[in-house]
Amino acid sequence: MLFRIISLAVLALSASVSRAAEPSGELMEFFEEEAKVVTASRRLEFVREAPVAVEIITADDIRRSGAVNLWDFMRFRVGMNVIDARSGDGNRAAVSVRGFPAEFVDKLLVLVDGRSVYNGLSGGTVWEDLPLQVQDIERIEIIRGPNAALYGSNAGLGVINILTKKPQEPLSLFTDALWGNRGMHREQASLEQGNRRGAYRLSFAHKALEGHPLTAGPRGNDFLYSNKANFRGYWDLSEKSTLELFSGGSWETLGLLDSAVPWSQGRFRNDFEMLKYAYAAHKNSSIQAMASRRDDLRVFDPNFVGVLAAREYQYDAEILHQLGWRDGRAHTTYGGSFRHVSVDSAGIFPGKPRQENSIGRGFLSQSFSVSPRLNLTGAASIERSDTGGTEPAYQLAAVATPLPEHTFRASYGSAPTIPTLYNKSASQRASATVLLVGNPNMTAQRLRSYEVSYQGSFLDNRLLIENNLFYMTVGKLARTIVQSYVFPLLTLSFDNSNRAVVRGAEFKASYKWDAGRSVYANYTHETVSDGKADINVSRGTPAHKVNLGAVMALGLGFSAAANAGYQDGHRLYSQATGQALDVGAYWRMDARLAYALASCGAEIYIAGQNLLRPTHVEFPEGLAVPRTYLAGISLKFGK
Amino acid sequence: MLAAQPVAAIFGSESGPYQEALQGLKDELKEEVLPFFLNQGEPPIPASIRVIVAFGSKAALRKYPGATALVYAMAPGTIVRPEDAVKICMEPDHAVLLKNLKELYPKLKRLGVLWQSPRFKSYIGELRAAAAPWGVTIEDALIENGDQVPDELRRIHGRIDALWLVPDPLLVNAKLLPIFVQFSHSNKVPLFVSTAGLLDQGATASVGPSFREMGRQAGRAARKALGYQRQEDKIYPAQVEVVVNKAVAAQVGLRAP
Repeated sequence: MLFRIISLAVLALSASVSRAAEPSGELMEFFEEEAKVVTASRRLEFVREAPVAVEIITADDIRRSGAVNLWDFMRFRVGMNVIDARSGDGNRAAVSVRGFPAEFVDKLLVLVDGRSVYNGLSGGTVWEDLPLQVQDIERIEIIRGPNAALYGSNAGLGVINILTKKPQEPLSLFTDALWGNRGMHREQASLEQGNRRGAYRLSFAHKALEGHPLTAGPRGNDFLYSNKANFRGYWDLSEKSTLELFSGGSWETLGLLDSAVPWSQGRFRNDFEMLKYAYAAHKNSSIQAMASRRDDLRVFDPNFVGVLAAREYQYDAEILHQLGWRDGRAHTTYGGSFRHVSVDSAGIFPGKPRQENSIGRGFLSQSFSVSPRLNLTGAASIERSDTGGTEPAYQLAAVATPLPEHTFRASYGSAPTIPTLYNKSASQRASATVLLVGNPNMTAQRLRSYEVSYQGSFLDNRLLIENNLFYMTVGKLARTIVQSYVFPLLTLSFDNSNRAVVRGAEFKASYKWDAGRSVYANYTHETVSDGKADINVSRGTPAHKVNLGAVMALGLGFSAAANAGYQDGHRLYSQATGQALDVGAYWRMDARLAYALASCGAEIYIAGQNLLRPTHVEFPEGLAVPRTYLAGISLKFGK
Repeated sequence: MLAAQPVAAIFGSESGPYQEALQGLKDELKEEVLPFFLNQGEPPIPASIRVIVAFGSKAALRKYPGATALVYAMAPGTIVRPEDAVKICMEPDHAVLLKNLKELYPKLKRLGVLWQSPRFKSYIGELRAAAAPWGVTIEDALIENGDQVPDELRRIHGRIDALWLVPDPLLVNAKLLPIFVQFSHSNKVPLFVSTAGLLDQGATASVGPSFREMGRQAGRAARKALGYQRQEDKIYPAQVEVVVNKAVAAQVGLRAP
């Protein structure tokens, strides 16, 4: 008996174990299907392949924030600078990533459904002018660090990728209305319909508000009337190919700050169309093509010199091929794009009102899983533009996951920021005492960034922690210079003579108890030094920023969310006025309380912004950001 | 305008385990549930649906429209982020498991657990903590790939009294299950599993919820989600079945109750 047990034990220890008959049945099929899913997703779980620092803002985050303006959704995020700023081109916000908040943020690329909305005339993004509605947004991806090799020039500090929801409801109607103080109200509605082969969504939004008061007290000329309409549709042409159409328009009338003409108004119209085609050649290969057109007309009436109009056309085309090989361990993306921008404005470019810029780009990206724990990614692009010449861009990253749920990343990126048409060719009387003149010798700025980061999850994925350290240099940094001063006229121009170094640290932690209850905190520290001892550069970025927030499901259908943020004092420069202002440190808190009606798809809510003080100043244009309150209701009907 | 059924149930397929779960779901929700089976194609989920109950990882990992709450079950190797979903576990609650194992096998002091899906890393930690008051230690081993299973079993042989096979889909398969079974029979080490259906493959006993009970528990969670009630993001089904394979139990020296 003993011998028999030992011999059986030896058999069990033998490497070649004789196999029983293959088990069969639905139970084993179930486990087999589960294994396929776990194996496919395990690679993503085990190795966090994102070669960059990414923050995702979901549709739920947007709904809970209580914010009304698109840029307010990005406040309270690590590394972000969001300022209520009113600029000379009618912009109502300045949004930047990893420093350099300014009137025209030329190192941040913003995409909507993959389409660049970067303003070719003066750089940056004119946020209120975007033909995009809050109700349509599925998520916002904030990608920090140089990404020009993947997305194109002017993405040195990062990329904000706004994605709208793909229509998929059989039939639904959504409506939302909110009212607030300072004459604010917004109405939104969307209709969505679809079947197995395709779907579409039509949406419309109207917004009106008085705007911010002057710092001195009385009402400023900051009103806004805005209408937006959008269409998005897709058709599955076959099992392997899909065609998508995006179209939209934005019409605004807004008050402009102009000390010489206090009643100045802007009338903006922006419309676009985009066609996308995707073909899945086989399981591991797909081709995507895109073509788009944009027409953006802005009229400033009156302006210091009378009525100023600027009309910008942009045409884009892109094609790329994505390929997976080596059993999914390697991924390759390559392709090319072409953009043509033309601006017509006699007021900005007297003598030659039409200015044009063509940009051609080729790119290649490669990622490779060296092992289940190590992934390498590289990307390179070469771009040729009329304003910037030929400029390469590179990105390299190594992502290691030595333990499940703990990821380390080291990356390097090099990205160009090409001059705008304004930088190169403008000759505009901005005010009674300021003349802005372009510099045809402007060249591309060059941003290089070295970064290390750690991401980890603990306590069964409830606690998420992320740390990033980066060292960034900006060579040939563009700056506004005084070309001449003959009383009373100050002539400003631009050059590339400066250089900046940015050292930064970002820390983020979030904890989730369950669905509906979570808290977060983040901290950003940045120091900027430059080669010209220009305090507008070295003190232009807040050294410390802290944000805290919480989402709480309170039971019985109630939920609450609050976000609070602090940033150090810093110095901001207004190109339109030629003046700089020290903006003091401030705290800001936004909050929302909502009640969801269990019996139908309805929600009522109250919210407030800037709750901690009656007003504070965020930009040196003379406006104070007030405390605002609002209440709203949203309804969804469907079949 | 609004659908009568606010809950949609999405199943990976129409196979037996899913049909059992659907029965359990209907036990709890009666006719308030709208079932869809992924093997039939893209589920046309009405806009009025407020809660999705997903069975199987493929259904759990899909994107669903609007602000629908998600309850998912029968996805043993998958975790959907806590803020998105409520998980109905396929394995029993740790205390319930240990209580039943000790009743089945009073001499149990060392329990071996092999695992491969990353999701079970935290499960092992929790099990270890729960086992301590029962006087049981956990001897666990992370398997990188299936070929390591015989080596790991050889390594822990002599250091364990019984083996607990978690419902890890990377280990419960036609290739590896017979290796566990043969190890169990040859070395008289009871092999405990979470699903009764594995007993006819040679496991000793099962301690775990039936698929029907998982469906019932998912129904309870869906009802709570409809009422916006707060609940844990991970739920162990209230009722577990203890089933013993008497022939195998006798073979490995376990006295069946």
